This record gives sequence, C-alpha cells and structure tokens, in this order.
Amino acid sequence: MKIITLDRIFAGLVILLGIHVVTTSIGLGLYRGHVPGPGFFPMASGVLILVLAIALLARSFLRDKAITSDVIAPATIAVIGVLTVALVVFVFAAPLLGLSIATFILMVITGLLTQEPDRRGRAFYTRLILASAATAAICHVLFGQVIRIPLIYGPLGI
Amino acid sequence: MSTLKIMGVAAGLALGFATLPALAFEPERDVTIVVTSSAGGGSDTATRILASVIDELELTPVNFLVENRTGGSGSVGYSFVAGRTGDPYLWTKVGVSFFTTPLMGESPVSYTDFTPLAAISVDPYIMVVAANSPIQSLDDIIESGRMISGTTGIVADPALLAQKLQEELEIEVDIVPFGGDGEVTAALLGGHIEVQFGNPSEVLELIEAGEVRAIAASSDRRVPGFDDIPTFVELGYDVVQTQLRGFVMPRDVPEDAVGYWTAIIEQAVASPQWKEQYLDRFNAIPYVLSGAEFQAEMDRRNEEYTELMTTLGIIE
Amino acid sequence: METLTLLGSGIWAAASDPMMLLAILIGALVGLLIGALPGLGPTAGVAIMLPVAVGFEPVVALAMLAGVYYGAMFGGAVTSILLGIPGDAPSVMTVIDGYPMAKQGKAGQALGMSVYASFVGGLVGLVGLTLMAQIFSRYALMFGPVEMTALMILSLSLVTVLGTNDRLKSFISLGLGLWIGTIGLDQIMGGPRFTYGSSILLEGIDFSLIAVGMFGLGQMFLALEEGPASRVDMASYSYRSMMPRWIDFIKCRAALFTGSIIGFVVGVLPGAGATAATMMAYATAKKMSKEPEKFGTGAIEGVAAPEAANNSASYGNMVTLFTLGIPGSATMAVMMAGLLMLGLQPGPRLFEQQSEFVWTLFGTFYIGNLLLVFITILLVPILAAAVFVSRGLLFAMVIGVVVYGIYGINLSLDDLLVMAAFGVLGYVTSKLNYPTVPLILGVVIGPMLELGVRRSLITSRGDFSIFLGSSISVFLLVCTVIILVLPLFRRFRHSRALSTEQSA
Repeated sequence: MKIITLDRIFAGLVILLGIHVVTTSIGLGLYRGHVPGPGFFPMASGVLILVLAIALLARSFLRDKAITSDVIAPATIAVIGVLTVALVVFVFAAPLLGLSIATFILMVITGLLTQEPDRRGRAFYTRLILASAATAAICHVLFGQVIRIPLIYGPLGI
Repeated sequence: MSTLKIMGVAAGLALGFATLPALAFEPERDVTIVVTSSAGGGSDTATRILASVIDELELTPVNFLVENRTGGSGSVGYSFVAGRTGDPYLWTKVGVSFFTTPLMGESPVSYTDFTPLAAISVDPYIMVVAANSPIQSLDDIIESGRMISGTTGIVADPALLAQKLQEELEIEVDIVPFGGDGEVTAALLGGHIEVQFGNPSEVLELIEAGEVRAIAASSDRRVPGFDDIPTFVELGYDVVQTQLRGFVMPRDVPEDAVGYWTAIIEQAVASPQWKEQYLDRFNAIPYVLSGAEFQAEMDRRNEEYTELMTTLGIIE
Repeated sequence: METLTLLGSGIWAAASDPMMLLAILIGALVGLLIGALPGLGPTAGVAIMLPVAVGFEPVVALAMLAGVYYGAMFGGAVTSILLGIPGDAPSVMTVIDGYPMAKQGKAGQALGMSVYASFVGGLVGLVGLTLMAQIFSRYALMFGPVEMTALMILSLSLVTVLGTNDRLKSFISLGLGLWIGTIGLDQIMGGPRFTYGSSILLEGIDFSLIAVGMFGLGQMFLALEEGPASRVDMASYSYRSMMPRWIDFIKCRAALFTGSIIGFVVGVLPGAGATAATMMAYATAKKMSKEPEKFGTGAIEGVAAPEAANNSASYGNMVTLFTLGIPGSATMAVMMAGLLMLGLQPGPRLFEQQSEFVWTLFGTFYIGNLLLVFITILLVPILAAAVFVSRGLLFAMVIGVVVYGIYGINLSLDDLLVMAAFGVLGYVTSKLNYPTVPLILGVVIGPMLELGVRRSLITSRGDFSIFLGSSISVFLLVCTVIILVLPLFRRFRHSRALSTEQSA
C-alpha cells in the first residue's frame, strides 16, 4: 500500500472520529448550569482533531512534500494482520487452554512470523520452542507464585 | 392466621428435610475474598484485617485469600463473583460501586445477583474545616448560605452527604470531586475548598495537630475517639450518612454454607482482636447485620444512590 | 544541623541492622523486577508487597515497601531502553531516546546513564525529602485546582517542543491523546463518556496499555521491515562498549540536575504524578540542549532527564505523606494504608512522635539507593546483551512477558485487545510521521487539565477570572506565553542574521 494512500485514509478516519466526538460531546452536555459539563472538554479535543485533519487532508491533495511515494509491502501488512488476529484469538482461547499454554502457542506463532528470513532453520525452531516454554513457565511461576496474581488455569491444571 | 402458621410449619419442615442429608456445612477448601478496589484502599484493609482476625481466632480450618480484581468501576470483580453461582468458597466485599455501577447500566450484574452474608461496620465522616477558616460551626455556614465542599469522587457517600446537607441546612453546596482523600485534604489545608468530609482515621491526626477543626460527624452516634464532636442529628439536622462495609456471596450458595460463614463473620467482629486491630485503629463504628436485615439495608442504600444519580443527571 | 545528625544516626541505624538490609534488598529487587515487567508499575508493586510487609515490624515493613517503590523507578528504564517497551508509566519518556541508543549498539551506555540518572535523581529527591520536607509541604498546599490548571497549560505548551516540525500532525496527535484521556467515567459529574457500554472502558484506558501498545507492539511491527543492515553486528562490539561510561555523567550534568529538580518540584504536588514530571524534564532538557534535533534519535540527555525526574519525583511524592499525613498519589495511599495497618498514625506529628522511625526509614532510602546502583550496574552488561538475540526469539519472549504483564494489571484478557489496537495505531502513526509523544502528553496531561479547569470553575461558579486570581497561576501562564512566543522570536532573529550574513 502506498504511504500517501494510507495517510489520506487515516486523515479521513480522524475526520470521522472528530465528527463522532463532537456530536457525542454535545449529547453529553457542554454546560451544566454555570460550569462546563462532561462534554465541554471532549468537544474541544474533537474540534481540534476535526479541523486539523481537514486541513491535513487538504494539504495532502494540494501540495504534498513530506511523504514520498514509499510503499508498505503487502507481506508486512499480512504479518501485522496475522499477529493482531493471533492476539485476538489468544484472548478467546486462553480461558479454554489456560494462560501458560495459550501464551506458549502465541509466542511460537510470533517467533515464526517475525524472525528474519535468513536466520530461520532447525536451530532457530528448537530455540524458539525452548525459549517459549521457558518464558511461559517462568512467567507462570513469577506472576502466579511470587507476585501472587490469580492466573487462568486450563484443563491440565496449568 | 392459622393458615399462615401451618404454612410456616410446612416451610420449616420442607427446609429441614432439604438440609438434613447434607448435614452441617464443613469447609474443605480455602475461601477467596474478592475486593474490587486495589490493595491498600479502605475496603482492602478492612477485608485483610477481618481475614487475619478469623485466622488468629482459628474459627475455621481453612484459609482466606484476598484477591484484588479491580477495573470497570467494580464491575470486573463483581461480575466474576456473580458468575460463579453456587460457589460456597467465594465472598466479595460490598463497596459503593456495588450499587452505583449497575445503576448506570454499565455492569452485567447488580446487587440483587448476590446472597448477603453480613454487614460488619460503617465508616462515618467527620466534617472538617482548615484551622484558619472563619467557619466555627454549622451556624456560620448556614449564615453564609453557601459552602464549597471537597469530596472523594462524585457518586460516593461524601457527595451524598453534601447533598443531604444542602437540603437540610437550606444552603447552596458546591461539590468539588477529587481523586482521593489526600487530594481533598491538601486542597482544604491550602484554602482551595472550605469543608471536607474526612475519614476519621485520616483526619484524627490533623485535628489533634491543630491543622483542621472538626465541625460535626455524620454517624447516628458519636464516633469512637472523637467523643467531643457532635453529630449532625445532635445539632438538630436529620442527616446521617456512612459508608457500609459488608460481605456477600454468589447466588444459589447452599443455605448451610451461608449460615456457616455468617456465623464466622459475626464471631470475628465480636472479638477483642477485631476491636483492637480494626475498629479502634480506623475509628469505625460496629454495625452488624445479616440475612434479611442486611438485604433491607442494601435495598435502602441502592435507593439513595439511585436518587443521587438522578439528581446529578447521570441516570433518568 | 540537628536534622543532619538525626539523618546520620538514621542511616547508621539502618546500615547496622542486617534484618533491615535484607528488607531493603528484597524490596529493591522486587521493585526492580516489577518496574521492569511491562504493565505493572510502582503502585501495583507496593500493593502486592503490602500483605507480606505488614508481617514485619514497622520500620522493616516500610523500608521494604519504599524499596519496592524506588526500585520500580530504577527498573522501569530497563525494558524501555532494551526493548522499547516502557516497564511502567513514568519510564515512557525513557523509550524515546533510550531505545534508539540500544539499536545503535549503545544499550550499555544508555542503561548506565539510566542508573546514574536514577541515582542522582534519587539523591536530590532524598535531600529534598529529608532536609526540606516541611518547606516543600507548605508549597505543595499552595497548588489548588487553579494553580494545577496553569501548570497543566504550561505542560501542554511543551507540545511545541516535543512534537516534530510537522505542526499539523503534532497537534492532531495531541488532540487524539486529549480525547483518549476523556474516555471512562467523568470524575466531576460521574457519568460514563465514550465507553460504548463496555465495562472495561469505565475507568478509562490504563496508561500502560497505551504505552505498551504504541511503543512495544508498534515498534515490533515497525521492525518487521528492517533488513539485515540494521542488525547489531556482534563482531564490532566489545565488552567495553556494553559498559556504562563515566564521561556521560559529566556530559549530562545539566540534564541530570534540572531533571531532578523538576521531578521533585512536580512530584511534591498532590495528584500531579511522576509521569507528568518526566515529560516536563524531557522537554526542558531538549529546550536547553545545543543540539535539540538529536532528541528522539538517541540523545543521551534524553535518557538522563526523565530518569532523574522520575526517581526524584518518587521522593517528592512522599513529602506530604510524612509531613501532613496526606497521600499525594495512589502509591502513597497504599503506603499510608501500610502505616495504618502497622499501627502508625501518619500526620503532622509523625516527625515528632515517631522521630526515630522516620529517620531510620529515611536512612534506609539512602542505603537502598546505593544498593540499587551496584545491583543495576552489575546487571547492565548482561541485560545489554539482549540486543544480540535474534528478532523472532526476542519478539516471542517479549510477547510472552507482555501478555502476563498486561493481564496482571486488571486480571483481564480484554485489556490485550485494547493494547493490540494501540499497537496498530502506533505502527500506522509512526509510518505516517505522526509524533507519538504529543499523544502520550495529551493522555497524561489532558485529564489533569480538565479536572483543574472544572474544579476551579465549580468553586468560582463559572467565573473564568479565577485563573488570574492567584500569583502562582499568573506566573505559570506568563511562562507559557514565553515558551510559545520565544521560538517565533528566535526564528525571526535567525532569519535576520542569515540575511545579513548573505549580504556581507
């Protein structure tokens, strides 16, 4: 994706957010009696982002110098997407698997996705699995036993 | 009349039969007490001291674990507890957010989703002014017709107290909510607000050091350790407002378990250890209720909070 | 003089008791660990230790709790520098220059500086606390809602210093931060704002989620595009390059000193907090620097100033607790609960009635600080080696620790979703050259500004002239105007100078 396209999309989203914030703020009440109400301050921030984002979008179409014709590789977008989805899946899977096992799986996926291509290989896979297991285990003991935070335990009791 | 009696007997019989096979409740696992505020807060402190007193008195063979499940203005912890229906090893501590967050429609559970165990105490508030303030008594405030009060939070007992005073004293009360008791005291001593409704354990030292002056107490009787401070009622104003401390369990917990734990709490709070470690140290007033009485107290409080929040325009 | 004698005997009492030394050591180590773990900060740390600590005698217990507190301030810098993930809120500003330094192979140097800065800041804060607490507590009380408002306006004007040259994007970033800061229950009227029926958002978005998401996860996403060229080359780094350097200490003395002073002065104010102090310290260091353009790309002063400030602020924070019995922050409220549970009554008479207790406790602070310097200096080379771990392995471990750390804040997995959203936001905004710091500034300062304004106007019943009714507030507002106008003036002179040069 071209950076400039992303820039315009983002500015557009900020404009939409601005409109949403402004309308919601009015609903919250700008003034209560003689003092500023709950909507007063959000309104100010909403107006700020709305006006500036419109100016930004205008600048982008009229004269753009700051951002070049750089692109983001589709592969990068894919990896970021998969990592984000993995985190979302993790949130739903952890109560079923237990925190430590779910974390272990999430770690392995993260490692596989983010490793530099030229450094992959059997040695890396072994290390990744060992490191993930060790980190999950250490965190489990550290948070569960030392700091005494109630963790989520799965069917295996860990 | 006679029909009622018969029904009563029948109910008693039915209950007796129902509980007979289970015999009396005998705890086998450790009890978890969920506190929805962070460690070190008033709720947490009271809970931990109660747990340690029960432990010290060896009232039950099992241990108590205090868990702080904060977040969501109480709704995180309370929905966790409410979700574990029937668990006889789970308590939670009643706080203001126990009532107010569900009222806002922001919590999946409300105070009716729990089984009451027991109320243990109430915390009164001491109305104080800075030592160099021109305000000497309630009359001075009534005369000026206005009072700028600092409170801890807005949907909270001190704010409720301020509102009640507004009506009873027929004055205008401005409520300035702060993030914590410390911030309110700092604003009071710095002359940025006029009055504070302080926690006894926190203002006692300031009173004795001559930094602040006490005007009145918000309980229905004089606060232990503050014997020369009159209550609002004594001064002729029908204002009583305290913070309730008590414990509840999830719904559908077997009755014998509820009875067992209620009895343990009642024994613990009647002990000299409890008086010394909690009541005396934190200047709290014992207020022990259980079962239906406790439920009625919660209903009453819920109504008060509903009213406050309606006045504030938070709910309709 | 009498104070010095008391302090001397306090330090001796603390140093000569092995039990006490052990308590300090345990507290400091736990603090170091909790501070370094992303998500959990000093408040959580002290709260976690509270039930353990109350089992000991009062001085030992408090020494341990305080150790956790200042230890966490030391530890927060570690993950900020090595991984670009702030270990806790007050170490966010350390990421901005610390992480680029680590990527340039100067992790040891940056970590070393954070240790020196923590020590200097700690020392300045301690001196302020132990020798001038009474004076500063009176000064703290002078800050009511009106003065706070003025201070926060001054802080917000720093966005012109902290942002980038793209003013539009800097201010959009600030606006987003200000809005995010309003999410949750309105503290003045009590109603929910922008929570969309989600109970997770009721208390607002925890600052750690934003910081870990935008910096930690965002950095991870950004690193995906880095080729092998940016990799730290193991061969070209000797053991020496991993070691802290004393010369940096001299080089950064101005940043260290001003950072410490700002940290203490802001930290003393009830409700202001260490995070705000680090931002002001960073901005001031950048403003004072001869090469402000280097800030954000790995300027060592950018590590020195905020680290000095957060450690100094941690002692400033204790001033009102020990002199008046007023806890100025959530962490201090936990400490106060600890004092009460131990049967001690914090208040104006604590110094008189419990003199020995107070001075011995203060003594432990000095010892704790010294202890932390040795521990952390020894750990620096080991920690700094983290940069050599290959990307996949490092990120995997980071995710593992982050998951536990974030879950630990509220025992909520949903918080991870919020963090992931901020990760994507952090990535996109970095790609598009939106500076991140103004957003963070908005989130931290915005709520304090809003509360200040609304509290002031409640007391004045809507009369805005209240903001000009206090000399402190007028002074701060004048400073704000100077900060905003001075760069314009300088630019004008600069262009004039250029044109005369050219004509000559």
